[in-house]
Amino acid sequence: MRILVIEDDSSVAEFIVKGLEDAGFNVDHAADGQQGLNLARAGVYNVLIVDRMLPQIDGLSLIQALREENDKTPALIISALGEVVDRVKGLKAGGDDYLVKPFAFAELQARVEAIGRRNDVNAPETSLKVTDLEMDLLTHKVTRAGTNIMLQPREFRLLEYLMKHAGQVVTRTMLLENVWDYHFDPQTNVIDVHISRLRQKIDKDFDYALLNTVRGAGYMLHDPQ
Amino acid sequence: MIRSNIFASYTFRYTFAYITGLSFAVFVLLAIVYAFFSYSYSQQVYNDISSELDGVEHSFNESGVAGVQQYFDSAVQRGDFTHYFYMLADEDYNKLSGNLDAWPQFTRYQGGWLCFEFDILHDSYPLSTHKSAISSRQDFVGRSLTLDNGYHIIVARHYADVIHTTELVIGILVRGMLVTIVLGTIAGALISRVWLRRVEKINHNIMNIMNGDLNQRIEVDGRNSPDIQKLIVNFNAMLDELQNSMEGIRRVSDNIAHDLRTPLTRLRNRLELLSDKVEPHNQDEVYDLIDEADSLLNTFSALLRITRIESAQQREGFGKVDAATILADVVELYEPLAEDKQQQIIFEAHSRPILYGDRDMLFQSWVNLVDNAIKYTQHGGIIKVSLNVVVEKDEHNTEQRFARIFVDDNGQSIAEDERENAFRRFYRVEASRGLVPGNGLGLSLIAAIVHLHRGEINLLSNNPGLRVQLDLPLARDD
Repeated sequence: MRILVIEDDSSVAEFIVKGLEDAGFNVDHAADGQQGLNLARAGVYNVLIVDRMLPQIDGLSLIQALREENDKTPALIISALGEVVDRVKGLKAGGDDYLVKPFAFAELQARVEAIGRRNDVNAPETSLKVTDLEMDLLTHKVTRAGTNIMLQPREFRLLEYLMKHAGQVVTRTMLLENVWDYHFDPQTNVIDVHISRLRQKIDKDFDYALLNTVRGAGYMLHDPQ
Repeated sequence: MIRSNIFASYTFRYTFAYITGLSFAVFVLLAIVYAFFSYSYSQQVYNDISSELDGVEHSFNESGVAGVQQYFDSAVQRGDFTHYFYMLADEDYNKLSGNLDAWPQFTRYQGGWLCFEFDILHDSYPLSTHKSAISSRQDFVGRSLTLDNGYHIIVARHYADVIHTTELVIGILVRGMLVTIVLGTIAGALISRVWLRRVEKINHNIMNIMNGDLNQRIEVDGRNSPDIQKLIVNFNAMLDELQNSMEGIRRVSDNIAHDLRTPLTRLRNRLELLSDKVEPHNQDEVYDLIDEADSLLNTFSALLRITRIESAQQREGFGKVDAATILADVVELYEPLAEDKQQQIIFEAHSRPILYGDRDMLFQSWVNLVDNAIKYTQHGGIIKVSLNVVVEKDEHNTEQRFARIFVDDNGQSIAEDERENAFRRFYRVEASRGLVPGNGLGLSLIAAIVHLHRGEINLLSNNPGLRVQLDLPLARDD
């Protein structure tokens, strides 16, 4: 996956570029809005990481300009402005996700992978499959190795999100934002309890676990083989 | 509303005291006028009667009884405004001449004054001017004189017009006082009303400012008197100072939290990188450190969030939200957590109020409430969340409708003397310190959010357990 980082703060940029390169991505860096826009227009990137406050052209205008040119490259906005209204403005401008500084690198990586993957799927899916776990999105039927699994509506959405991002790390914040659709700080790790309940249903009576905890980051649903 | 306040207002009381003082001054003034008037009036009566006596004596000395008769005739014909009554009598008080029938029985007062009542039915000199008003029996005032040959003279006049004049003066005095009091009261009420309106307006502004919008200032109205304008200007200056110092504090705490957050994140990220490089048996240690850093970061985020909400003009994210849906989501999110502790969590929505608020913030505050309830309630406890619409009358007797949320548990309560402090940052109820995880910011965050929504939060006793009562205003129908 090829990533363009548009960030004027050199220490933040260095940290992102180095981290992503270590994680095996191909990364380019632009230090201002104009240079960033020129590079992005080349159209070779899978994901853009755009700082909101940039010299010459600010992050939101940059994304807006690309969207007007019908460039749909997924963009992750990073910003120190963390209010919900700021986030809404960012997403309205055409951003695909919004991450508030300072952030844990694991969070950035998980989100970059999530929006990078989103681009691969063009046709709307009707079913999801991870090894022997299958989900029918139309009938809301879930089976593992042919056994029917009964899920609550919220558990279904949780599993759907995890399966759509199978093989990727999904952070707790991503789950809160996408499955529960609220932006808030949970006091306790209430998400963990939901995950362990889901685990009871999809993993407990089977040979191997699909839903795993990634320490210091979040969860991952994947085929262990 | 204003009317009932007028009479209670300090201004009115002040005006009232002023009127009382003024009335007293007017009373004293009129009393002096009256005293002066009656003194000079009686002086005049004395002078007049004395000069008449002199006239009669003079006529007698010149021409005897005939001269006196002539004097009496000419005096009556003079047609004076004031009628005098005369009599000349011999040594045995037998009438010789005059328009009194007989020598009257009188009472003698100090200074030679005589007072008597007398029938004047046989009066040969009609009382043309006052006849209708004066009855046949009259009060007279007069003086007598004994001549050298033993004859007696008496000159008298009605006392009625003196009384009449006195009554007139008293009447003017009383009316003057009444007019002073009535006009003064009306003026007082009007002044109080004008003043009250201004005070009311200033109060309204102050209320708004207290409700969180510290940017607002009281408008300086050119119609206001200089003293009020000065008050407003000073008040605004005080607000500026207050805002400056509050912003200073906020900047400092923001900076601390912000400046610590960045290096802490860096530390966390380096630990993350390290976790891949250390021996597998040390990895858990590194992850524990990462968790520790995460919890510190969360505390800083919560602190920053509270500061932002408290200083917020950020009602940007506000809209109409369905309280029941959000509460149901909160309960649904926490159900598994409660079940893990074998607790029962019940949600009852008795109505579906629409609030004007920020969906995420409300969710956050209710999450904190339910989270606390679960944390501080023992295994097997019961947590009940209920939603109602309550109608109450405010101090102006207008109906206020608001949503009332109760979060009840049967776990640990908060001691009454600790309830006020429970909303302070980093305050942890004594009994829970070290036993229950938390950063002591949960209730502060709730309080900040509730305050931003112009709501009210109260901690009550649930016997046993805690009842949290949350009142939030409904969205207006427009």
